[in-house]
Amino acid sequence: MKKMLIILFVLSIGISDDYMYSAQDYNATSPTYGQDVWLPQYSDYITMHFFSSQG
Amino acid sequence: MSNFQEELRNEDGYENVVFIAVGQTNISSFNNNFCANSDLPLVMDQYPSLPIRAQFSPYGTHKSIVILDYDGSYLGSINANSVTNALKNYIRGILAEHYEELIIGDLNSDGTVNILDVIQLVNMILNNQDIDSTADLNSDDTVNILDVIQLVNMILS
Repeated sequence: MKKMLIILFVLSIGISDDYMYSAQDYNATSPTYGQDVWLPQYSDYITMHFFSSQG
Repeated sequence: MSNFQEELRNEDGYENVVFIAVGQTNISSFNNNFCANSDLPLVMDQYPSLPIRAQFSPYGTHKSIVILDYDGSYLGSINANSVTNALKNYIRGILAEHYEELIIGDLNSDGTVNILDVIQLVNMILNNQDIDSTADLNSDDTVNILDVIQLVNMILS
């Protein structure tokens, strides 16, 4: 039983798909310009991350 | 994208949603094209290691949107070469399922405001924990004893 619990714990870590980053907002026309997003700003938001190769 | 965010917030009532643009360059080659006429936050994934993309792999591909829940868990992703109705419908579908109205004062997110929230608020203040907007009851951008008083008054009334 104990062994099974350990296996389940390790599996739960292995399949965890939580993401997290904190980086400065460089858009001068953004309300959070100069602050760190997505954390701590927008920590209680559903966030949509748009990836582009442009600056 | 900025206009769609305004639609979601003002017309659909999803106030706590945000698009964050994740660029791919270093600040020395920064240009304003990506941000022109936009109020979306923009972060830089530092070249060449690109740590944000590495974390989001396999989802953080060029011109894709990755949608994450409040706790950072994955909700979905979609190609976003342009803001089409299909893209809007996809995002609205996810929000309809996962968006939760924030209850001011409900710090432990159990759907009610009670003494447990007061205890949590006091602990947050004493321990300098990360503060979220549900704790700033008087909307003065700080969380202190005044918010505790207001929370107690809310419960008593």
